[in-house]
Amino acid sequence: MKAVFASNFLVPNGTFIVELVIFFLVLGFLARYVLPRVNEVMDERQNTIRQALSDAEEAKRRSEEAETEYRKAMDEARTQARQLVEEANRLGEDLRNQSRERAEAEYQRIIARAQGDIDSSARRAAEELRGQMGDLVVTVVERVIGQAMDQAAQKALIDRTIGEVEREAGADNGAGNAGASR
Amino acid sequence: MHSAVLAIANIPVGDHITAKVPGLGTLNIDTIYTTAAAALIVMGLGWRMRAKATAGVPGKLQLTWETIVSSVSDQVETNLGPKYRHVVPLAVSIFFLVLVADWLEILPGIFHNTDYIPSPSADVNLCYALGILVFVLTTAASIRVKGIGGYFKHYFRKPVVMFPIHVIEELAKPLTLGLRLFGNLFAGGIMIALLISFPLKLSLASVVFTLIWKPFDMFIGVIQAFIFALLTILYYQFAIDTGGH
Repeated sequence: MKAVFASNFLVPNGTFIVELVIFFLVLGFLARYVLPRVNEVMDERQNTIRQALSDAEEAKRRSEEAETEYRKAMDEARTQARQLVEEANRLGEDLRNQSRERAEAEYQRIIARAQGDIDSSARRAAEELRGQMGDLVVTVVERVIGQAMDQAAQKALIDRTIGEVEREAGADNGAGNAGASR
Repeated sequence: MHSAVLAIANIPVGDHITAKVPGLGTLNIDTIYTTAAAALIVMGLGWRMRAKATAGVPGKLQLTWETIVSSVSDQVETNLGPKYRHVVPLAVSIFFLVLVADWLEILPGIFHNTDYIPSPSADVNLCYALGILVFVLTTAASIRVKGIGGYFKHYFRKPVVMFPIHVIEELAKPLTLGLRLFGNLFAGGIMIALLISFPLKLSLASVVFTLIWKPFDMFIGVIQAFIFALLTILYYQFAIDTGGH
């Protein structure tokens, strides 16, 4: 049943319909059974990849958080350490200051006591000197005038003399102190 | 190539085993067999892939399916939008069926005067069937988007004088779509027939040229399948494009 050039080979015949039917079969089969499966596995793979990516993102975020926390803890520790050192320094300084103040106070107390001793000794010496000087003056005056003096005159004389002597001594002392301080 | 030369070399042109079937007329039995074989191979490969498909590391077969499906999906998504996702199975089916149909002629048939199994794409019936199907579907999509009036209006777009050209341009689409595939595959078969018809003293040249030509012919098969699927998507895009005209 060969038909060479039986018809123009560019003109279709009934085969056209059969070819169309075969194509529809292929189309239906692929659309029904094959393409959904292809899309399914591709979606699944994409989800897996997306999941892996988001997991990696999460892990990165966590590690960053951990690092931030670590840094924060380190900073806090460093701040605390600095505060402790400062506190210790301040305590040391306080202790030093306290002992210095105590020593200073002790020193002042000793000086003050010594000064008090000196003052009272000086006062006692001055009293004694004043008594002896009164007797001496009365004796000298009585010898000069050749007669004894009454009680009131003696007292007046003694007071006047001692007052003069003390004035002179005060003037001398002031000059002496000025010289000593220089 | 002059038909007389082809006749001298005893090269069959558009020669088919036919049968008369009431209601359908003349059927090219060989084309139907080879198309059915190609269809079975495509469906078999699809079934095999489906059975072995994994979301893990895909095998070569699955990778091939995934590559084609995802690139066609991308094309459809970017050119037509998600509303036309149903075009994906159409384009994928066209690609695989045409590809396998083209590749059926991988064996040059030394004793057959042409390829061992001539490709069904070298018969206009398959090519027209696919071309006209695409034309009908794209025209239907165009009418759905623009309405009947809108569809016919684009034949009268300015300059109106070009109306006949616009009609021819539209009618040429299914024709060129089909004949491009047919011509390439038909020519591939004639090349093999010519090489085989070399006289005996040139048999070495015949073998060498066949070995060089065949891989190229297979490559043409891929290109044609790709072009057919791509043009299907593009014709859809032209059909639903409402702006500009």
